[in-house]
Amino acid sequence: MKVLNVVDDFCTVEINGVKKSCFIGFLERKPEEGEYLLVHAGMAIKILDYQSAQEIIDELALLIDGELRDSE
Amino acid sequence: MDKVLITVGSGGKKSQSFINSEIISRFSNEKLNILADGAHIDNNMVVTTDSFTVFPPFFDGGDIGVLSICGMVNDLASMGAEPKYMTMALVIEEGFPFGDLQRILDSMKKLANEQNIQLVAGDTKVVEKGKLDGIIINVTGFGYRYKNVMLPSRDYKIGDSIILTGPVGEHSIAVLKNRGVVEFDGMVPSDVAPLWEPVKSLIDGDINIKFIRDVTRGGLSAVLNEFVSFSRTKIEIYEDDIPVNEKVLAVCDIYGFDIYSLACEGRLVVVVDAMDSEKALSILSQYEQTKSARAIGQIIDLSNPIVILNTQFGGKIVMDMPTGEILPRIC
Amino acid sequence: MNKSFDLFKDRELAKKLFSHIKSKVSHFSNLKIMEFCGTHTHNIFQYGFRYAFQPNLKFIAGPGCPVCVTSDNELAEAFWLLEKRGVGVITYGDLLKVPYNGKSLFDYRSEGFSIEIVYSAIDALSIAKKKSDKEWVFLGVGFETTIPATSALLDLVVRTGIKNLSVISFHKNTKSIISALGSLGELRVDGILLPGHVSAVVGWQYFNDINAFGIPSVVVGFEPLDILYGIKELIDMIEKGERGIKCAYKRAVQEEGNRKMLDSINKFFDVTDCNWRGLGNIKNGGFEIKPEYSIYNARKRYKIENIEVLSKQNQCLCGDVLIGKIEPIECPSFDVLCNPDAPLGPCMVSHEGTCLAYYKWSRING
Ligand code: SF4
Repeated sequence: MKVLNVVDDFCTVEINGVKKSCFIGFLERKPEEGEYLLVHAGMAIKILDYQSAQEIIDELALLIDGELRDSE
Repeated sequence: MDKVLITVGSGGKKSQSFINSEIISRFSNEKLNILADGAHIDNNMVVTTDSFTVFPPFFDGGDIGVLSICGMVNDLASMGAEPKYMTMALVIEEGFPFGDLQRILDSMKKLANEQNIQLVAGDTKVVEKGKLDGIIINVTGFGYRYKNVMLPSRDYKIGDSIILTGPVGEHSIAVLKNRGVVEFDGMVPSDVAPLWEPVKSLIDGDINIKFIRDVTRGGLSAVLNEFVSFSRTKIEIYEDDIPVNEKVLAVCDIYGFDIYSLACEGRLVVVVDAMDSEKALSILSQYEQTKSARAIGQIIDLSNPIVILNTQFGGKIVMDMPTGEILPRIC
Repeated sequence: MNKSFDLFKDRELAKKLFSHIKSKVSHFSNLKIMEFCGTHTHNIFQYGFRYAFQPNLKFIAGPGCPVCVTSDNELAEAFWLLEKRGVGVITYGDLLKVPYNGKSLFDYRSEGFSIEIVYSAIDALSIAKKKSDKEWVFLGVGFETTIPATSALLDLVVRTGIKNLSVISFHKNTKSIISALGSLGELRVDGILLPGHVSAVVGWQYFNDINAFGIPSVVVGFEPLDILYGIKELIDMIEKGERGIKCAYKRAVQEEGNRKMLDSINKFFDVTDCNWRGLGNIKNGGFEIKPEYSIYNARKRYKIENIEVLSKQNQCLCGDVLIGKIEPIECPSFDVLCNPDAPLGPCMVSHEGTCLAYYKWSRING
């Protein structure tokens, strides 16, 4: 979920315009606005790493593309 | 079971088995056993009844008064009947704010006027404080069959198209939010709306309608399961085609709700002949309440009553009757 | 960075990857992959993957649904607190339907007992504050993902000095169960999907014991593409004969876990032996509140001693289903005495339950 703002140990996160408060006291650092969090039962577990996410998507897209080309 | 559980009234499996084992077993007759939203009591008249209890009585997008009129109108519309008269019984908890009662009655009156429905009889009871949570409204609606349409039909074909008239779950989310069960910023107004107008246009448009039911408690899963068990058909639904409200989806994501068991108060499932599907959609698209109608699936077999959902990601699952109360899940 | 993590919900890519896996597994016969986490079980079912690769690949739902593994004696404790001590109970919605001795918390609530559902453990504090004429017990269920939430609650209880709230721990330890199954030689699977959320808390090195059993394992997230990607990675490993643990959820999981969460678990909890449904007593299988916080431990506060456990569920083979020893259909009660309307065991009750998933699927082809 995307971080909108941070106040002390809580922050507001958002998906599709639905905003929710979540506890961030356990994060390794304060998240910044625009970052994404892994939230479970109202608690942030982790600040998500965007780059490695994109890498996996790219890897998958390549794999699928390659396959499509092979089959042509 | 020695006590009545909340699930008996939840619209899911338990309600179904309660109706069969306690009601049908005692009151069985040809008209009742169809288990439609109402009954044809003589050749032209259709009657339906429903009690409304909702906490809180006011929620985003409506109130219990609006809910009761729409519920009645939609039940009659599902039988292809034009709403005409209604009776109303109010059961009110002692101490209920008078202003709230007036607000509720005002919204009922406004809507009844718009729908050309006359209130012809009524009753009011007040019960001791604490014996009831706020207010219960029972309405009985009377309507006339429109242009001799007889719903539900008994005649189904492979390929018959299943139409859903709009995104699901908005009503549940609005109420759960106003009740404080789910919390989030921003608003999801209830979809509560009267649907006779669009149904009338479908009939006027000579659409071969076979079945209509309004999606209420138990959600889309319940209605589709009721349809297959009534029609004894097997149907296939495509998740890609089911209209959803992104906010409702997000709330479901956060709280672990099953979006297909959430209640609506202004959505219909309409089954029409495949040939008429396009035309029906174009008629529905002209009304605000049904403008996002989509064909979501079709009948694929005339036996083995079951609802198959083709998921957005390539797989298939059985869409079952919901089993109980909507609860947030964590695991 | 305006793209969201909806990246992993991409339908088109998911459908393509799905077909890729389908053709890939066609070379195998009877591969068995176990997922440990209840959310994986649920999502694999909900996305429609659970039976999609049969008969080449089967998913086996492991003992990772906290509700399914909550034991009869734990439910008996909760019921005893309600009946004998008159306290109110606060817990997650998941637990409400689980039957013990023919009754569930849901039934208790219908009878007028005070049962409150929370989305987050710390919400228990506001309930106890608001309804201060009653004593409340929070039932902590779940694995390492929800334990920090219970720790956070305990921390608040200690700091605010609130008197009418205590906690009972039904928390379970995922590491112990994997080790226990592995060393029993009960783990007859070709690969394991490791839980993503738990791993984000504890770090994937937590599961290093798996290396000893030589079963390839992949840490996996929860979105459709996460799960498909995880399956693909696992099959790649199986094909190449690789062992060890791979992480397919790098955006959330590293080798090391979340220090602060682990510290908070250690602050309030000791690892203890614990009963798992169907599996019996597991060494180091659970978490109990540390003695120095006994006054906040409902077991101590209300002097719960040995409660006699009545077992009506002995025809249920959930235990064997949970470890992949048998399939639901091999249970004599399946669809005979046990179905979703009259479930005998938690595997038929829970949304995550293997028996329930199997029951639903078995009717597709009629
Ligand atoms: S089918 Fe029922 S009785 Fe058999 S293992 Fe599953 S839950 Fe238990």
